[in-house]
Amino acid sequence: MIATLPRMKAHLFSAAGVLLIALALMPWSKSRQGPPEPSDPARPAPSKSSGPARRETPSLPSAQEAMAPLEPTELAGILQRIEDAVTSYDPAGVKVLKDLLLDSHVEVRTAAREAMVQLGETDGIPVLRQAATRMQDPAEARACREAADFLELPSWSDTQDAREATAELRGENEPPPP
Amino acid sequence: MKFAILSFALGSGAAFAQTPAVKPGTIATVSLSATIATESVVTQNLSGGAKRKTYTTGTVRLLSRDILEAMRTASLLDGNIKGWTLSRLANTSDVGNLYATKAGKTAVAVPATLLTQPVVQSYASTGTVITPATGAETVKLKRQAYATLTVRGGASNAAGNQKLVGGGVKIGSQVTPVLLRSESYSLIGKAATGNSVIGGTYTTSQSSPINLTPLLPGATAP
Repeated sequence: MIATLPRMKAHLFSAAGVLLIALALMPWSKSRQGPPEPSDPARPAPSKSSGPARRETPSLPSAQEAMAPLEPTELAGILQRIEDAVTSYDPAGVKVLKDLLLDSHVEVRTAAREAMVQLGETDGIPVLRQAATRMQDPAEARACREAADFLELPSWSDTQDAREATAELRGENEPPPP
Repeated sequence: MKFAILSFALGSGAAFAQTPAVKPGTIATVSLSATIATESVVTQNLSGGAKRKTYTTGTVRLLSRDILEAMRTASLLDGNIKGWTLSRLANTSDVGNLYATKAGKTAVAVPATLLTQPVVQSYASTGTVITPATGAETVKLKRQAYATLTVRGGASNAAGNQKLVGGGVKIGSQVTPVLLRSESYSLIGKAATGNSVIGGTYTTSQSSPINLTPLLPGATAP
């Protein structure tokens, strides 16, 4: 009995030492610990980033997140840009209207969509179809698709009826023979 | 010499004292967006003296741009449709017509064989008209309206809404009351010849007060 005491003390010291070492290493090992295994039922699946969730592609605000209404002068300026794009009757007008199709204000989006139709450039067709995929309001998405379908139709200006109409007008405008 | 200088000064002063003629009115942009569906038929002779007729429909789109393009091709505009707008010009009582307009250019009347403006045949109004003891009326009306018009010479019917609001044209220090209008119609009609159906929309923006003199110089009235 007396002979085993030193051996027991040695074991106790060893165990205490191991315990102390383990306690000392524990904070360090936690900092190096990676994400838990996905199959670990004790922990929830980690998020991909430590910051707030971010959307990959920007989308239009919902009705609840609608921006403050535009000031009348600001809206008038935007509508003037839209009108200038239409009366250019040029594919360059499509680029101006493209950005406005996805504006955060519904009145701007509506004006831009109608202007794209009035501009009558076929370059606007893929722009409208792409905009339709990013609309949150199903009615606006449908309106964009219908506008694209409309622009896909041939133009009346390229028809025989148009040629006859202009011939009639030229005949009316020509002075009568002496 | 002094007399000559004085005469020149008086003449110049008299010229500067004359004010240009003003013609209060309104202007609104017209947006036409329609389809024209035209029937065509192919007759095929079959055996035994039978015949087969195959009907197909071709559809084209008609915009305000196409009206301007037809006017340009007919040499009614300045050779390019850039900057031109299909507009409705009207006097202070809202009596007006359709024109091609461009800043710095005289307005050109749209030929009736291309497009005529809707003429309201009947309406049902909601709103108020206040007639003071002296002065102009104050108008604020919304109307359901039925109208007729012609597109490419063919008769069309239009159904939709009008908004009439009183406004004012300020030219110099003088303010002249005007009636401001906006319209939105769905239209359905036929072509002048052949089997065609026209359908679409005809809308005008809210008209704005304007001095019509630069667009309609002289005695020309809308």
